Amino acid sequence: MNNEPMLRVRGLKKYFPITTGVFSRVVGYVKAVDGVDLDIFPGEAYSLVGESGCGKTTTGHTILKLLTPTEGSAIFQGQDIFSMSRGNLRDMRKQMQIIFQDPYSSLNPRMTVGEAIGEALEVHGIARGQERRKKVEEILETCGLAYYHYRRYPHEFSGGQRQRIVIARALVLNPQFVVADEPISALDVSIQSQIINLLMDLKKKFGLTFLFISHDLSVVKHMSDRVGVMYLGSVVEESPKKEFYANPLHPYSQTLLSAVPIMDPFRKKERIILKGDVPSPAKPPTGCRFHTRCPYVREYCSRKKPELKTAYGKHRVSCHKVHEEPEYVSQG
Amino acid sequence: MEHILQVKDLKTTFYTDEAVIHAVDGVSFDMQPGEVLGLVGESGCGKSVVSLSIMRLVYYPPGKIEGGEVLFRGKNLLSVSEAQMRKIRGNEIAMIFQEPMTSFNPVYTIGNQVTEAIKLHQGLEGITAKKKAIEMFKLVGIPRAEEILSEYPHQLSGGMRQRAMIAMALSCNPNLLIADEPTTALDVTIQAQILELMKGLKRKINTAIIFITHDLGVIAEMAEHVAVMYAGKIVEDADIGSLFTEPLHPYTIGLMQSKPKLEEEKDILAFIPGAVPNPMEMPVGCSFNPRCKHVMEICRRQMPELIEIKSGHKVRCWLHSKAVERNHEQ
Amino acid sequence: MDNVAVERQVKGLSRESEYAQILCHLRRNRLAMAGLAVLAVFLLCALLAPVLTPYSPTTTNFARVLEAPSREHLLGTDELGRDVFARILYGSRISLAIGVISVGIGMLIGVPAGALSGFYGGKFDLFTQRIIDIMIAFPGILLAIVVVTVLGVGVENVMIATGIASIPIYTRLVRGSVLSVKKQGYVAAARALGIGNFRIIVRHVLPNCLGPIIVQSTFQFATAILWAAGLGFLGLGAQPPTPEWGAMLSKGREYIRVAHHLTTYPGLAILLMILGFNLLGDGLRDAMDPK
Repeated sequence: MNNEPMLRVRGLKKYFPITTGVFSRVVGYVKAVDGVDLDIFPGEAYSLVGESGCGKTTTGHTILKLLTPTEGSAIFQGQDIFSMSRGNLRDMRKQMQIIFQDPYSSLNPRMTVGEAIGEALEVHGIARGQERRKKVEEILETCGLAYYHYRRYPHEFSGGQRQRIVIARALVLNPQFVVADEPISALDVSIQSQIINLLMDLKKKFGLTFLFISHDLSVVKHMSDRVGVMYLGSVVEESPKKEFYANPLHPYSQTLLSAVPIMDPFRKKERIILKGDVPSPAKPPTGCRFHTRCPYVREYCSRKKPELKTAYGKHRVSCHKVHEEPEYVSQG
Repeated sequence: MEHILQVKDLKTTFYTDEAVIHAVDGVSFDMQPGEVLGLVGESGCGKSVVSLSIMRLVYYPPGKIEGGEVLFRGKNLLSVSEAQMRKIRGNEIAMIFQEPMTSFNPVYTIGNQVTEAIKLHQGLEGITAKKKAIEMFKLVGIPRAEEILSEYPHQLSGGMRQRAMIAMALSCNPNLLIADEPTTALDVTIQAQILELMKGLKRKINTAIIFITHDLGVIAEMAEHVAVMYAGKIVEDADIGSLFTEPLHPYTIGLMQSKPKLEEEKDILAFIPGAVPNPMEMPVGCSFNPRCKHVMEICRRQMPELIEIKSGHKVRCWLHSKAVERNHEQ
Repeated sequence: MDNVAVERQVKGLSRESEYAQILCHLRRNRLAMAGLAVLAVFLLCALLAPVLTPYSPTTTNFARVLEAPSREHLLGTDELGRDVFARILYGSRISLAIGVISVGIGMLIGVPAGALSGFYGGKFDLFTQRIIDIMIAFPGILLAIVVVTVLGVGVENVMIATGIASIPIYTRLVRGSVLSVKKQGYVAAARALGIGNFRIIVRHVLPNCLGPIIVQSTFQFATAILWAAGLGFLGLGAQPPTPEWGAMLSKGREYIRVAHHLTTYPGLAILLMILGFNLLGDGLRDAMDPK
């Protein structure tokens, strides 16, 4: 890992307007992503974890400008993706790709596998005709499919194979950076590990940089180098994997980890059960977003939003308790 | 002890334009009162069809229950009249589903639907029914029970809807509760809440539960006994301890090993090659044979029987049936 | 998982392509096949008209006017001694041509308008939809009458008029389908691959809207033919001596007491052709969406 991040995201915000009535009057905003900073270094696998609605997927999509950001910047290899011209952005797409969650909806049913994967090669003027076919067949085999799948249609494949096609399509352009948006959660249990292994393999082979988006902490542990935990649109903890799993600092991270079911009927683990539900991102709580459910909440938490600050080493967390903020401590 | 439910050689088949699909193909299991049976398997293995067949909610076309018996407290549910079955459904046997949003009718309030069920099955009226509903809501940990009664399904979060669903299911003190992937659509922290709730309820009300899921982790927490299904058949059937300490079927072992675990570090995950067979192109012999590491010649010819290897631990696999045969010969 | 889910899963696993499944469904639908058969007969009539009858549709024979059907003149003769059977055969050419051209015009303008409107949304969408609203405010036939009045009478103008009148139907339909297809993952994937909007619409969006367009076109054929017959009946369509069914009906009406065959047979021809298209359309709709 070198010191220059490949992707530097600063102050990323994405608000979705809530509209009402015939004239689509805007009555409020769903603050799906509300001020996210990320640095992703070449060759690393960074995972964003969190529950549904925390903004992890929106973050991934906005970084690639599949959604228009409300605010913020994303510098990819020195160039700002958000202020780029359309033409430049299309060129940039060769270097940053995405793998979607649902392998069923992300393949056009009316295109053969060859067309689906080869289309991008043609559009970017990389390869045509026989050469295109050769490239597609190559990537198919790299992704654990066969060259003769070229002429088949998506409906002839099982979910796991479809996901392989989706991965092949993303990698055929030889990107450096890949966002994998819950790449295995739509798959059968017995297939998931195949796809995890494939992704890890490809990462090594092509020296890919990954942003994984996932809700499954055990999968994240297996796949990533660094972990960022999101809650209601913000990153609340970020740390190298080892430190994170050994010593999660944020009360929310601790809860998430303790909630993962363990495949061992004899091990009774101490489980933190949170009260209530995730608040609506349209009306996020004041102060610390987590204070409505936090077991260590004090009055100060509802007043002041904690910053994401270094706790030790590369382990950063946004929590008044961890940082022993004087006001928090004095209220105890 | 008397069985609350005995399923014997249940067969449910779907007739579609393209093919005949044996979704449930000779499934048998027994349940004691108050027992929690985990039914594990991947999508398409037939675990949900088992539960629909028990409730007799398989409709023709395309589905048909073609054979076997479902003995509920000694009575064969497959031969009772539809009118009797209606009395049993939701009353003696209740069911909760994966997606609580679609299980509630969006145009009625939650209270309306829960009290409706209570009125229908318990013969309570007006205020008493409402009181019972509030009591049930409190039991499943719904805060502001009275307010929530007058809210519509879409106003509740997923976790709350699932709680309301459980409250409705339990309001008639069923002897058997079928929970079909009740936590799959929920986030982990909410899943933890619901699992905790169900464990607590199990201790309080002593209802037998069939817990259907694809997640072995959830099974390890909830179930006392487990049946693993693959391609319409039970391939392994054991009590929870024995299954997790000594899984026998290569499929079960594969499932357990292929899941990344929090408590261990591995470079490469073990995996099961291939994919679940297309129900229209079932392999000959053991349906797991094309994916099995230990496949033998006989596996490609003949489906093994579900055999008890040691007390209470049954497996459908030639590796083990052969060993049993050898022991007998000696 | 419920019964529907099981079925869907089975469908998903099917080795046959979607089109093969639709054809299979269609083939089993007796009514749709009957409709298709009727249309095939009309198509043959149109193509083989000169072979099927020795008479010309326009040659008059004042020696034999208003004759009842006989062996010589299968469906009798009209007030100018023209063979009614021949006129109906040649009339099917006109009706089918009206159908083809009118559907063609409707699709040519309506599909792109609907696609762009649905895909881009925003101001363009608002603008097109208001125009469409105005067009929809008039009943189709009335709109066609207005267009014919402006362009002048004649078969060609009837085609244009019915075509224009069907534009709003296509625009609405395609816009709706595009709105739902646009949300599919593969459209986002195409965008992420750097594929341009035009190509996305043509290669990814429109092919997946084809089903409803085909079904609608079948019905639209029927509607256009009916409208054209109506215009012909009102004297706004095909002019004599063109053997157009609507015009034949209108002319024959004068002799309905003495020679009912002048109205009966063209009327039956219109009825059968419309029925054929409607049966096929119903069948197609069921085949494409069995639920």
